[in-house]
Amino acid sequence: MEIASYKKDKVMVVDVKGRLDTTNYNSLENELFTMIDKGNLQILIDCKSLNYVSSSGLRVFLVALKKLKALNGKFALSNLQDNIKEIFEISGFITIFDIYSTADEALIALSN
Amino acid sequence: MRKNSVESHQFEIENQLAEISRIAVMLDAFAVYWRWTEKFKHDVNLAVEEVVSNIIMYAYTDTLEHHIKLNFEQDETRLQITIRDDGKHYDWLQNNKKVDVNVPVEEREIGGLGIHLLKNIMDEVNYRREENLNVVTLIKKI
Repeated sequence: MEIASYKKDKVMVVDVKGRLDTTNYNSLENELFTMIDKGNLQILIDCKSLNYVSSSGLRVFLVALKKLKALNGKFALSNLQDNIKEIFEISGFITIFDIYSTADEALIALSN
Repeated sequence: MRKNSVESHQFEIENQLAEISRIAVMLDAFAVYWRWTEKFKHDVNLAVEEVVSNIIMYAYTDTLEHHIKLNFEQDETRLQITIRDDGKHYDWLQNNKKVDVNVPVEEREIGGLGIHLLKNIMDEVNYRREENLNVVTLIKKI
């Protein structure tokens, strides 16, 4: 997994590439928590190049969402690949997360 | 075409989470050999990771090295995966409470997702105890 992040206006965009699994979910969790602790309360995870997520990865998304909601922040995901979308559907995550087809759409929604 | 034949492949891993990366590499090879679709490979990988990570994190009460044995057997209708570990007797498939996927985020619990996913992406998930081994079998139709 590779994580790259940049700030676009008020939104922190996090590009996650490759596989998010039991061996590396900690790195993403630490990265997100550090961002939130520094006051970044609008976070977008762009999943364009993310091709595998196991339950450990899903847990990171859920924990981040809960944390940001509690702080009146916003958390969104964009560009989910089909396999991952299916896992989100099975988990019921499709309805609890704000999911957008493209990063641009997500950025517009988060900026409003 | 391989007709009416059952073929199997085995490998084993140590009880270290880093070994999960090696499973993906092995499955890439099986996928080529058995001509799995990307989606089939993805689901198999996810199911195996969920089982193996549970074993590594919860099955052992000592700090010794243990080996987890994985057997993949496929015929023209289905793939059967058998995972054997020598950890403590623990039927985590039964002990796991049900995940309610319809509750709002505030009430969503953090745990239990792995087994929920596993049961949904595989056609059959079974557990049995064989002497000192936990044996999990997963079946997915082709």
